[in-house]
Amino acid sequence: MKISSPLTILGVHFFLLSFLAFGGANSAIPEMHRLMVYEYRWMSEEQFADLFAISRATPGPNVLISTLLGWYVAHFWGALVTTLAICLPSSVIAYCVGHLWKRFNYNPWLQIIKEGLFPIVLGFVAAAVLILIQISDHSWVAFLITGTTAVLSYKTQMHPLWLLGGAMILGVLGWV
Amino acid sequence: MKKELESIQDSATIIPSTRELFMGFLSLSLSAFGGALPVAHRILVVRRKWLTSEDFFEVLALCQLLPGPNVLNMAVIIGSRYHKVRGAFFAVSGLMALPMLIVIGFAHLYTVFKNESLLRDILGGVNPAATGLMFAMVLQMMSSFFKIEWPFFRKESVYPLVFMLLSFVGVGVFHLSLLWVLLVLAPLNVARIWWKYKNENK
Repeated sequence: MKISSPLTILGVHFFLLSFLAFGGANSAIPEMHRLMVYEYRWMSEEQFADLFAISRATPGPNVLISTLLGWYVAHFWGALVTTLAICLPSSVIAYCVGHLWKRFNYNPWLQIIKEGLFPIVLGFVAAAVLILIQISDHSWVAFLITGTTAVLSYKTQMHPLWLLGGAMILGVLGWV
Repeated sequence: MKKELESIQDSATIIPSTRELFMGFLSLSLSAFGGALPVAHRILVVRRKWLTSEDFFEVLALCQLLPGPNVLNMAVIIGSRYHKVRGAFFAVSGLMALPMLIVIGFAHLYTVFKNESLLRDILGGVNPAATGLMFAMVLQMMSSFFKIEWPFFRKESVYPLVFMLLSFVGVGVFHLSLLWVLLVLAPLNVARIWWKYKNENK
């Protein structure tokens, strides 16, 4: 039997992710990691962490991590396929229910489903943080950078670019 | 009176053209680092006045409930509100096109230089910080949802915290598939919330 090409695999998985990514692209990161690193071995742990970091250091919606992963696996077509596959289905849903939004907000089920999904989605994003810490924090300086960035960003709402830039300088100086 | 209010609201908001939708979401995406939602309110409501603050948060609530990237859903809903499919298309293109090109440029540079020592040093610092940013997001979401004053939380937050822990362990520690974790946990927790409200209303 012919093994399907990476493009098909990428397309199918990111298409499915589009329906599962409640709460945005961040909650899909553990699944992307599982597919890229474990299931299909398209990249190493380190390369996944690198691509994640690049997606944070560039402007645009969080979903662009799929563009990066797609590019890394299958260049131009990979990037196009992953991005379209994760964006299109949810966009079609949003288009179909969008005009109902006035009515939706007074529906008690909206609150019930939202309250029901939120802790689970939060668990996914927390899982992504755990996975990324395991991959990218190899030294105590790296742990310290993660911790400091988390506290500063949480407490002061400092612009992410300052924090990423500061950490970059520490990296270039060879301290990490 | 009602008529009067409506006319005030109409004069307070501006109906964007497809071109303006494109440009508006373009500027939104370029000023978005680590998530676009914080900038969305400032650009769409305060600067461009496409919708009232109240409407914005109603749309946001719906976008957060729907699967898929939140800000993308927002572009679709706001774009289609004014110009149907064309509006959605231009809003989404504005949001995605340029950041995609930028990110592809970086991806290309990365594939070429990924083993250079300078890039390794840079990413050695940036990776932990990028992780820290997402950590902060988790803290933020936890404190707003569970009404946490670290390290204290309310008693009624125990069950939601248990569900968060289950999905965290399933996906983060055991590397289970998102689909199965969601299929098992989501119906349980939604049913629990439904039960809770049903008993409260008695």
